[in-house]
Formats: sequence, structure tokens, C-alpha cells
Amino acid sequence: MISRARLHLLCLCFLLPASIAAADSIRFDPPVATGHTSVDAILSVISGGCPVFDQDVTVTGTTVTLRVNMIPPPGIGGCGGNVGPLTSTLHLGVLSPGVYDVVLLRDTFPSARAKLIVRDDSLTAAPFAVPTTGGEFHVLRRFDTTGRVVVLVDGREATFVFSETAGDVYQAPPHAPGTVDVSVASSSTNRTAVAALTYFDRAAPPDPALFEFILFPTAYAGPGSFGSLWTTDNYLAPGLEPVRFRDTIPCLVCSTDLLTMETPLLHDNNPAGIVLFALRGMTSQLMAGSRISNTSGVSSNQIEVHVVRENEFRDRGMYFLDVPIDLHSRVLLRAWAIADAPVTVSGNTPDHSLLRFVPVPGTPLAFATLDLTSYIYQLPGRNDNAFIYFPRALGRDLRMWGMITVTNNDTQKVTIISSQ
Amino acid sequence: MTSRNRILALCSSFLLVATIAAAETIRFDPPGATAHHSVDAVITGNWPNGCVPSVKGLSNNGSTIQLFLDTRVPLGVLCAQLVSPYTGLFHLDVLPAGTYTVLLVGDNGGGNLTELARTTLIVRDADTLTIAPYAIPTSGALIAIRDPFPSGGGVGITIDGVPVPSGVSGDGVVLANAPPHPQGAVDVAVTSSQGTVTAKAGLIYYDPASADPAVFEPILFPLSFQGAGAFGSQWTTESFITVANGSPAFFRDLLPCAGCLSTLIAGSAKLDTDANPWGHVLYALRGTAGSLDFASRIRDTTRQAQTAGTEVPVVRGSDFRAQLRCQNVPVDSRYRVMLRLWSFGNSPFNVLVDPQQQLPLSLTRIPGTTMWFGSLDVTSLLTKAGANPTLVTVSPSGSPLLSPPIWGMLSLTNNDTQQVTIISPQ
Repeated sequence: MISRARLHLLCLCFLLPASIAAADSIRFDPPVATGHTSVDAILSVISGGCPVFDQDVTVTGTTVTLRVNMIPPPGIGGCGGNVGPLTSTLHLGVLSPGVYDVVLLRDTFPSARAKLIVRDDSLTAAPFAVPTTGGEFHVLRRFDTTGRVVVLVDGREATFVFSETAGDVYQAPPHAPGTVDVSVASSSTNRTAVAALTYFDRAAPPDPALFEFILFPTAYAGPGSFGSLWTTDNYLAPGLEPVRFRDTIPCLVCSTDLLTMETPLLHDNNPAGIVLFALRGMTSQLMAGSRISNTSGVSSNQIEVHVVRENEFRDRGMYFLDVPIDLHSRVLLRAWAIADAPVTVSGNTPDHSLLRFVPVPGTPLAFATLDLTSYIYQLPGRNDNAFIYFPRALGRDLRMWGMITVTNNDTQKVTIISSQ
Repeated sequence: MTSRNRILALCSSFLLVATIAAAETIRFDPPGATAHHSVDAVITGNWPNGCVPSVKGLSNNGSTIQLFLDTRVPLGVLCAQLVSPYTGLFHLDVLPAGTYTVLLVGDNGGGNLTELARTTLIVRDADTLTIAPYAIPTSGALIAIRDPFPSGGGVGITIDGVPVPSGVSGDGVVLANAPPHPQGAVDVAVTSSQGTVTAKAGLIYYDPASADPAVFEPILFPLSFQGAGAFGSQWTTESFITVANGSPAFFRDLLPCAGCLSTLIAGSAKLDTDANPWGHVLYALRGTAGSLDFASRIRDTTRQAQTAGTEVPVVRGSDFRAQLRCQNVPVDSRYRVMLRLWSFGNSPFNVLVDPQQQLPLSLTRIPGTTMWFGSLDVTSLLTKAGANPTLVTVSPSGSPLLSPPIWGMLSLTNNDTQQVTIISPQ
């Protein structure tokens, strides 16, 4: 006799193509935790029309099992809900430092897996990750250390570099990718912080547990339509502390991944803009700016472009509430999605034209453009503006951000309308 | 020491303690705590000398949390006689739902404990019952509760132990009239034949005259102006707010738009313009503003054939920072440049233009809010800049540790074309 669970899964597989059924995913809030902060697991599960009836969390050693039950309980017949993604949040509480293997079970069948780093920050301060070739990190002076202090990274001695107000800077030795313990030993102290430092491989895709992406949407310098000549000024500055990036910062004189001063960025005319990866935990004071200007005219006013942080990408679609309708303007939508494969979404454009996202190599983002010039008059709106939206994509947890540029063909003045 | 001097010393000690006590603040991260998330207490203050206290530990008896500061002076250390700002962080972990009295206590190690500050922490049970809105004014309000019983039937509602009128609205939602109640958190219980489900500290009553950061998140529309400007310009600001279907957003006040309520359930609203130089400050119930989208654009209607105007950033509370830094600001004699600054508290600030041009900026309180605002025409200051483009920063006059978070922007308006460039911190 076939069990209820299997019957349900069979129905689900019949309703959904395998590629979509495999799209359950887990992400964490915060993406990387410490031993005194609680963590939520945010699940995106593909539903065959049923809600999540119950869910639970089991922690055994360094394995976290998340279980969701989407099988109707006795007394409830079928499910008539929408087929598509459901988001569900599970509270993991405060976990002991370590690296956890997190498994999502739909009833009893594994459907997604993710790694969660819970860091012990009692001995070290940002940066919490260094490349496999080694790198500098801070050791806090929160305890009595008399005599010679030895700092061990996964059992290998780190080299003292210099002292700062906040602590001592050490150079971690080269190591294979992964999360390791850091120990501090002196004649009076011997302490170990579990999972305190993570080694990353620069050649591997950016690990979302370690890096937060920062998007500069525009990176263009060159001619445009109607004789316009465009330039983009993108720049970054640290706050009180330097900010470490995954890669060498793309600027004229930069040779390091450490941002220590205001730095103008180079642009490569990539239509998808510039995507940088900053180490998590170091970006709260990071300052960025971006402006475009047409230098062909007498008056070359600059237009601010929003620099986008990862948490501004939303999973509920993009809404542009106030797109000006202007007979003399060209209107272009640029959009980015957190997606590692091509994906399409449709909005309220008259022919439901698709926004086709194509992955941006070396990043977790996909990029799409759509020329709205010919649609803008047909869109719903008010007297002289339009309301454009691309609702949440059915079938996957898709976080998006976008902006629309409205460029006057006569004056080349640009108005930007962005997701806010 | 003479007895007269001792009395003076005692008096001054008493005064000192009172001064110190008034200077310490306790805030919580996150501001709106729930029973499934860890909470940190962040303390800041001014210490009368350079030997600032350090975090010692905490105790929690279930209703009172004591945060202990070690106020001992290290042996053999001479403390600088200079009032010194300090900060400290206490990890409170995940707390059971309830209302806590949080005390900051100085411990000098000799058995002398001094209370330095006191506040209330509400930890809400946000999971047992889904209540919308979860915070209401002390005058009471209608609330909607998702029926916790799978097959329905939740009919009896009590709030703080008192039965209240309720009815089923369909779609598994029970509506209840929450009666007036003093400020604070109360338990909410739903009873049916299948049992009783109680959310401890599930509903918060707030004082509508305040803007408790534990309950509300500020949302700032920096501009709301309509009217005549310089050089014949005619300005209008168009600001919109929309909410995702199925995720209503709740506000402390009526939204500033025609026919609007304090709840936005679906669709969008266009905000009114007014003459306030600080724009619109809205207070959204924490946790409900995530479903909102905003738009704001200013334009000169006398030149609308030339440009559709300039987008203005809409600012959330989390965008406020310790310092405002506008990089790469063009210096051009054709521009008039205005700095606008908003702050979560009253504090003097300095506006600095590279390299050493400086002006003070004082703020005034925005009526009905806990926010301060000030503006400064920095056109002449920019003409003295040592570089083009240049750097404009706004920093607190006092210690950054004790200064309230700020947000601001520069608007550069071309006198010939009236084209506006906005430079904001990002």
C-alpha cells in the first residue's frame, strides 16, 4: 500500500517539472552568525498547492535538520492553493560555534542542503575570512596576556604584524579552504575560539556566507544616442575601519583588496555594472557613490545612481510607482536578480513582455534589460506617469532590484526611477 | 578634611551620581525584540574620568535584568580628569516573552552597587498567534488574529485576561475589539472547544504621542515641497507609497494623503505636498514596512519639456548613520547647494568642506516626531573648497559615541537649467 507521504510526493512531482521541484532552497538570517546571535533559516519550498502544515528543527551535533510537512492532515482533503514557492521561516535559536550541515527534509525526503558558519568572536575581530594564501586578521586584547603570546590558526602559528587600539594584527598562514579554530596562548592564558576564521578560495565562486555583494548599476563611459557623451563616476570609501574585499579593488592605482581611503572605481562598460564582494561584518560603515553625466552639452549636471546592497534585493517583485511619461524620452529598464541560471519574469507591460535575466559571470547575479519606450503610453498610471511592476516570480524564490532611466532625447537629461 | 568639606564632597558626589545616571542610555538591538531572536543591550554614557567602566556581566531573574558595569579603578592607574564617553555591549540571548525591567548597575567591587539607568524591554511572542496590528494605541483598536485552530472555531478572545467582543471574519481570521489599556505589553488568548492558545506579551499598547523605537520604524520622505523657487522655477514633489497585496502596513498616524487611513492594505497612495522643509516623517509599525515600496521625485514644472525631474531617496531608519559623508561634490559657481540633515536626537553638528572650511549646524525638533531637522545653504562654503570635486562631511560636535544617528543629503541646483543633482550617503 502506498503511504500518504509518497502519494503526496507523487502528486507533487506530477504537478511540477523536476527542475522546479529541485529548487527548494535554504538561506540564513543573518547569513553568518556568532555564538551569541540567533539564526533563522528562511526556506523557499516549491508547493504543489499545499501550505506548510507543520515544521520543526532538530540539532544533532553539527547537523541541523529542518523538516517541513506539506501533507494534508487527516480531515483535510486536497489543497487548492497556488502552485509555486512558499517561504517559511524556522528559528534555529542561538547555536554553539561551529560549521553546520543544514538539511531540509520535505517530510522525510531531503530537498535542499546548506552550510551555516557560526563563529566564535570572543578572540578575533573582522576580517573573519582570509584567502587561502593567508591574510591579516585582528586578535582582541580582552584578556590578560603576559609574556610571549602565541596565536595559532588551526594549530599553526600566526605571525604578529603590528598593534592597533582595537587589538593586535596577525598574519594567518596559508591554508586550504574551510573554517578553522583560532587559539591564543600565553603564560597565563590559553583560549580557543571555535570556527573563528574561514579560508576562502579566490578562484571559487563567492561564498554567500562570507561575502556581501555591492552593485554599482552603471559603469559606462562613451557615446550615447543623439550625440550624447556619457561618463560614470563610481567611488567607495571606508568608514572608521578599512574594508576588505574578495578581489583587488578595480581602481587605477589599487593593488590590494583592502579599502583604506576614498577610491574612484574603474569602469569596463559592462552593461550589468560593477559587482564587488565585501567581507560580511565590515560593510556597515562602507560609503559608496555613483553618478552619471552627459558631458556633451554646455550644462553637464550629474545624476545620482543608487548603489545597491544585497539586502535591497527583494523577493516580492519590483515596483516602479512613478515613471514619467514623456513624448521626447527613451525609457529603459535595467534589472538584476539573485539567480545562477537564466530566468524570465513577466510584468504588467501590455504584451506581458518577458524580462529575461542572464547570469553575470563570476557573480551570483543575473541581469536583464527591457526597452519600455514603446510601451510607456499603454501602461496603467495617472496623468503623466506610469506604474510598472514585475511581481514575484512564480516557481522560485527570486530576489530582484531594478531601475528605469528616462532620458530626454532633446536635452539628454536623465531621470532615474529605482526600486525603493 | 573638615566636616564642612565632607558635606560638600558628599553633595558633589550625589550630584555627580545624578549627572551620570542621567547620561547613560540603554538601547536594544533589535529594537523590537521577539521571543525567538537574541537581543543585545547597547549602553552608552559619559564617565566623569578617563577610567571608563567595562562590561562585567548580567543577571536575569525573569522580570528584572541587571547589567553590571565594573567601575573599579585599576590599581596604580591615574585616571585622566576628563569626562569620557564609553560604550558597552551585553548579550541577553533569546529571552522568553514578557516585560522586563532592565537596570544598568555600576559595581565598584566593594559591595557598592549604583543604579545608573533603567528602562523597559518588551519581548513579544510573535509566533504563537498572528496578530495584526500587534501594537495599538492606548485608546484601543480593532485587531485581526489568525485562528490558531486548524479546523477553525477560535471564538473566545481575552486581552490581558479580559474577554473582548470578537467575531469571525472568514478566511480563518478572528476580529476583536481591543479595549483601551495603559501602555505596555499584554497577553492575548484565543479559546475554542479545542483548547486555549495564549501569546504572552502578544499585543503592545503604545502612547500615540510618542514614537517608541521598539514599536515604530521611521520612514522619511525628504522632500514634500510644492511652490515657487529661485529664478522663476516652480517645483512640485511627487511621492508615492504602495504595499504588496496581503501584507498590510500599519502606521502610527493617518497617512498624509487624501482619504488615507493609518493602514495601507493594498494599492498605492500619493502623498500630499506641504510647506514643511523636513518633508514627511512616517512611523511604520516595525515588521510591516518590509512590504512597502516608495517613490519620490522632484521637478520644475516650468521646464518639464526638458527633464522629468530628479529622484529623491526615501529613507528608512536603518539608513541613518553616525556620520554624513558626501563624496565627489562638484564645485561650480552656477550651483546653489543646500544641505538638509535629519537626526534621531538633538545634538550640534559641524559641516566640514575639504580641507578646513567649517560651519556649525543646529537642528530643531520636527513636531510630532522624535526626529530633528536642520538645513544649511553651503553654496558659499563650497566656493572656498580646496579641491574640485570636494568632500562634504557632517560630524557631531561632541563624541560620536554619544551622538544620535543622522541622515542627510545635498541638493545642487543649476541656476541656469534648474536641474537638480542630489548627493546622498549610500
